[in-house]
Amino acid sequence: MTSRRPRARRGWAAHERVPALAAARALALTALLAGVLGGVLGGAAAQTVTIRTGEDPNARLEVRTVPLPGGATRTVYVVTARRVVLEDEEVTVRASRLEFDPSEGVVRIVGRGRVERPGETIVGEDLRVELRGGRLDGDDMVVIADDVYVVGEGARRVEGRISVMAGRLAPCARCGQQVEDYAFAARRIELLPGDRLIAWGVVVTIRDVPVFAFPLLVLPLADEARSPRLEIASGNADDPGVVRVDWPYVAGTNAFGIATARLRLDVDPAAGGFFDGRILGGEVQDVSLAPSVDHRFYDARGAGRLRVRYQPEWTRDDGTVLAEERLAFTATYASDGASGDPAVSLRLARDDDARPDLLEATWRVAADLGPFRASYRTQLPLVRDPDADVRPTWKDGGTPFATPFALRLDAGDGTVAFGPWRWEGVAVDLGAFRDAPDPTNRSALGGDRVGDGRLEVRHRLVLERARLGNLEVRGSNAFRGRYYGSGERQVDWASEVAADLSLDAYGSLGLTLERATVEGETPFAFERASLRTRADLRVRGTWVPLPTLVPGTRLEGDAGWTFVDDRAPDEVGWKPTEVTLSTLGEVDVASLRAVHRADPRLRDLGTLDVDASLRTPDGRFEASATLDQRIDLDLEQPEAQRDAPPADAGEGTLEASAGLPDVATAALDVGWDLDRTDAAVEADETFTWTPVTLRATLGTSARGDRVPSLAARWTFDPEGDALAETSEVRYTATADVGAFRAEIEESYGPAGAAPGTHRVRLAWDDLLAAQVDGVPLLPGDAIGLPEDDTAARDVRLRIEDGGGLAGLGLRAELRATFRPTDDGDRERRDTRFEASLQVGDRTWFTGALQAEAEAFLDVPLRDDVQPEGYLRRANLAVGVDVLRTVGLQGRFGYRGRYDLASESVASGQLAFEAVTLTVRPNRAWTLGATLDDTWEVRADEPADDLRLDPRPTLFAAWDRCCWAAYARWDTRSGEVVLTLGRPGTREGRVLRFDEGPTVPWGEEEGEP
Amino acid sequence: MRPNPRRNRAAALLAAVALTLSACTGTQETRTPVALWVGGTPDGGATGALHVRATNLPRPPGDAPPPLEDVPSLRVALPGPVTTLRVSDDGSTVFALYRSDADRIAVFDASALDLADPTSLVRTRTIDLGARVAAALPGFDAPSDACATGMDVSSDGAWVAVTHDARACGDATGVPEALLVDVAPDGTRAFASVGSDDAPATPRFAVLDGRERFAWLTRGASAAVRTRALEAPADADVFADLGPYEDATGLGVGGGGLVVLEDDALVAIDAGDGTRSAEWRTEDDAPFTGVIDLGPRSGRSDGGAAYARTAGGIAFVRDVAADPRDVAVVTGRAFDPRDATVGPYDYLYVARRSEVVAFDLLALAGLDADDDALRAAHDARLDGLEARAVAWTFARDGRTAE
Repeated sequence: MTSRRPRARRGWAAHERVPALAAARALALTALLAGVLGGVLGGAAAQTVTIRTGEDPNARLEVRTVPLPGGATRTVYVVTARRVVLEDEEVTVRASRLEFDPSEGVVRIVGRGRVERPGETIVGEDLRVELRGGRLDGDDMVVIADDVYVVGEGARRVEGRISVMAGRLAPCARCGQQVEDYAFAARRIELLPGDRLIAWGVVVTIRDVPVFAFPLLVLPLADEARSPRLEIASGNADDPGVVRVDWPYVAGTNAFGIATARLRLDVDPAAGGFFDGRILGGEVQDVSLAPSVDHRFYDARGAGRLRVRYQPEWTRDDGTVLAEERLAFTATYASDGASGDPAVSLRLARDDDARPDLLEATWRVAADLGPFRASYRTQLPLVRDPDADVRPTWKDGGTPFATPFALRLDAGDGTVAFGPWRWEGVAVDLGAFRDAPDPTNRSALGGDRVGDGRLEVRHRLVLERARLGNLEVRGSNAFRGRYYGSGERQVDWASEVAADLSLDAYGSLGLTLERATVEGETPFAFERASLRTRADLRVRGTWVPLPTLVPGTRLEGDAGWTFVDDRAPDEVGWKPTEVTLSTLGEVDVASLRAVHRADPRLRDLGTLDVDASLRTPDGRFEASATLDQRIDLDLEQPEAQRDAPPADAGEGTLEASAGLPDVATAALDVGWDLDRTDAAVEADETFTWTPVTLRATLGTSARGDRVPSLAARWTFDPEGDALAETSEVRYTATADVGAFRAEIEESYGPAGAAPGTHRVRLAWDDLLAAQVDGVPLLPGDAIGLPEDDTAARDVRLRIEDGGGLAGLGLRAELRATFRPTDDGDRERRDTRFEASLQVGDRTWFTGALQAEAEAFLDVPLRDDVQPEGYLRRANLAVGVDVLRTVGLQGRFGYRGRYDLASESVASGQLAFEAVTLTVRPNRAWTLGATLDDTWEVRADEPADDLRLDPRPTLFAAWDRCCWAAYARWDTRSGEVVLTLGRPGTREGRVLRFDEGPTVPWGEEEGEP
Repeated sequence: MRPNPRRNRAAALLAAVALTLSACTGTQETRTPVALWVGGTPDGGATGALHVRATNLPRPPGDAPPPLEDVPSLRVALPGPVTTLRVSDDGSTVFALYRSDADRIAVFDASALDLADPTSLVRTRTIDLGARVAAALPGFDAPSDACATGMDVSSDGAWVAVTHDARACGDATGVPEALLVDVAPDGTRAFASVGSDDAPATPRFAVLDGRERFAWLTRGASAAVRTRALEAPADADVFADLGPYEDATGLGVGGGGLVVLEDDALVAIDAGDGTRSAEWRTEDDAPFTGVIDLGPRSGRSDGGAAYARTAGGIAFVRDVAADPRDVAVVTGRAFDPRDATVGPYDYLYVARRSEVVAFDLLALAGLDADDDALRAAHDARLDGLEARAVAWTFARDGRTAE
């Protein structure tokens, strides 16, 4: 036996060998440091025991030497303090005085103490605890395990089982009830924490009054899925009652499961006593047993599961069928990955409810076969009626309806390399399938399903970069072919070969041949593919003339040929060409680029684009000019870009700018068209200016920089009737003053054009913003650009949050459209006020008021079309809690309908969506009322469903901590529901009365 | 793979076989023709009509038919303008919503449509939608009070989802509602949207959280998608909370979930938990102006395509289940698009006022892929029909031997 001396911590070792009195004195002096002792427990595995006394200055440690009968002695530590805590690896003992025998590993509590283990707490008098084996004895004990309170005169814990003599199962003990609402007194109680509680000789007491007795009580404490369970559901005239028992079992060392007996009871609601009438819903007329089992098992290679559920046919004597015969089962087995080859999986399933008459069978075997992974699978829906319309569980669009057999050899990630070639992704799949016919394949149509054999081959051949001097060749060939017994084939084949010839510093030449095809036929819908075949050749070339003498100059070309494209046959032939000449590429202040685009297939000489630019070197002052010129080289053909209309014209632009960034800049954009068509030549209009834009910017518009900005743009048409006819004037101005920012944006079209943009926005930091649209600050007349008098003008005023108000969002908008009338006036229409507000979960008055709300309002206002304002929509979703006593939540909504013919509100409906008022006068009681209804509040004769009817559903909950009762009364229908269950849930025993009392209302008022 | 001679010999043999097989190309057979149903009005609004265009017809050598061949013998006149066409999930039934004195749905059997046989276009029944709504819902005094502006059909054809907007029928202003109506032959049930929010978009049927649901968009202080499970349609719940201030205007189905149209973005909503899973914007941030339809066929098949009207035509997302960084929004020029559908051969058919334009979706992938724009493959002018809706079904062509 290995012994270890108590391990000293924080200076206690110094006192261990001193006489008890001195030690006690020392303890008193060092109590603040807390005491620690290590205990030596017998056995090979030594454990460390820690004893703490907290901050108690009067804590005492006595080391007693106890003589044994054989003459030997034993050392016992006696610790006294206001609170002594002894901690082992799994056990914590709390007491005010305890004796610890480290050699035996025994703790004796003097007086009342507490022993805690994970999931288990025992409180009692004079407890004796064995730290090693977990044994425990004591008197006057309370055992708390798995939320179960057991009180007993004496108890013993042996190997995880707690025996309580003359005990009481008292769920209400933890609630501090002086007189417990209910309890179960028992002659003997066996508690197996985490599993179950068994009590013998049980007497049920209510408020300490014995009510009735029964010999045995078993209470499951295990995980819900592995607990015995009893469920009782009441029946009625339409649905049978159900008594269901789930019983977990263990079958040997490698199997377990749950067996279930489900009794379905045909009841007569008009008859029956207390038990069958109230609990089962009526007198039992007939019984049907529907058993089921969920069994799991394991073997050396894998695991399996069998689930079976059976409902026999159940008919009344009069021939009424209460239940059809139904069988559902799933049997699965799969080997573990770690158990090696062959990997096997099986599945056999049938579910008469979900898929009647269908038995599903799946079998898979896989093993390595040389360099391949070989797998075999069979997946069959076995149908009794071949014409039945069934859908197996695996039918997801990409899986066949049935696979009688399929054998696959797959090389996986394996590759074979020979020289520059690499062969990869090799797989062969041979199988027979049955599936719905591909609807696009006419020869496959004719029945609901088609069956056929299929061989699928796939591989990919890759040519790595192979060099032959300056020539580099690479390529790939990816192939997937499917070959069917019907003689049909479907091929997905993509090939690419590319060759690049390097001319060193003088350029390169590249050639790429690509072909991609998805073609053929499949008889099966699950393999349907989108068909397309296209093949083309592309040539790219780069030439760098005199690389050292003219650096940055290069000529690039791109051309090609389309051999076939069955989706676009008109594209077969030459591909569009592009030749680009770039120069001055290494000069900072200038660049020149010319691009020629043509379409040889259309015999189009195409276009020539020339781009030239000049700019100042880096510095404070910046200036640049860019010239783009496009010249159409062929007047007879459309431009190279397909689908574009014939242009027969060139165009050019010049952009120039200069200035000091962030201070003042000016820019000019000018363009022109060159039209060489006969008509243009005849009219002497071969050169025309396009609109010119002048731009100027002062300051910066960056937020918060306190530098005002003004940006203006004037676009005019030099070709207009009047010189410099304005196309558009636009300006924006911004200014930041403290936390405020003002923005103005206005634009004007040509004289007489539709109203432009007129926007003024004032923002207060990111808190609030106001914006007006449609009201010109600077009238167009003032700058000679009057707006169209006959155009409608939309005006809107909006106030909204800026996103910086945490938990608060708001928006209010007033808008209208002003439209000119025939008599020269303007009418106002579509006038509307819309507002919304969101208040997140907030508290006020130090938490006394807690609320969140969301509101919306939509009000068309009186204008020249709408005769009067009316409320079109409004809603308020609210949650309010006052003093945690009164609560209101739900959604109030209103919607109105206006009849323009009668100029009146035709309908106004007020909707209450789960509007609930709750009052909680104390912790035990909750009272409330719920309204869920829609009322017509404007029409004189609303439909029956929309009549005003404020009768709510009343509810009350009584929470007694260890049990709770709920009552709900629908004052309109009279339905009363009483529920007895656990606090916090509304599940439990339910008593329902459909024809309870109602509150009279409306036409019912006169009825008795 | 470790090199060894035996394996290399086997691999070389297999390579030879595979390369030999690679020389085999696919077979070439005639594909199933497609009937393109175009609904609208022949006279600008008083009456309605359905025209059938045939595509993918057999092409005898030297006698290639036009890509969208008119089939004058397959035309149906209806008493009111056709505003929506929907096809059942199995492709056998076509539902055409029109309004004469009240809203009605003409139901056609498309399971045996023969382009050569005018009698194969069979109208099986007419659903008096307005009467069903008036009989089941309070607030609708007469069948003509219901004013459907958009429709979807459940997978089994037993329910329709419509937007009721009295403003579209001219005599009243009010709040658009989403209605779920049982249109089974003996059906009597109907459900209206709850609360006071606008229902600004056509409601849809979608499989969400494992169940087929009627989904509709609501817009008030905040926007949300609410649903009713078809197995328990009386209970409505909020499926996706889109947040405050969202200017949601359209709802569609695609990519295994929902797609919501906001002013400048298409937003994918996860089918499991209703959260936003992705967002698409056009390259130039051009605002979308309305989801026309989503996905191939009726929007509930496996495809994930979504398309919407934009300022310049059609914006198309190939797969709304994909990462927006991988799949861009592409646009197609089709001024004033009225409706669209994706056919079985990867063409997007867009019905404009007086023509149908077909865009080749396969041009978005593979060789010569164009990620920026949809390429118009062909178009066809409509003969005296102002189009409002388009749908497709398979057909047979009795003029050719099959």
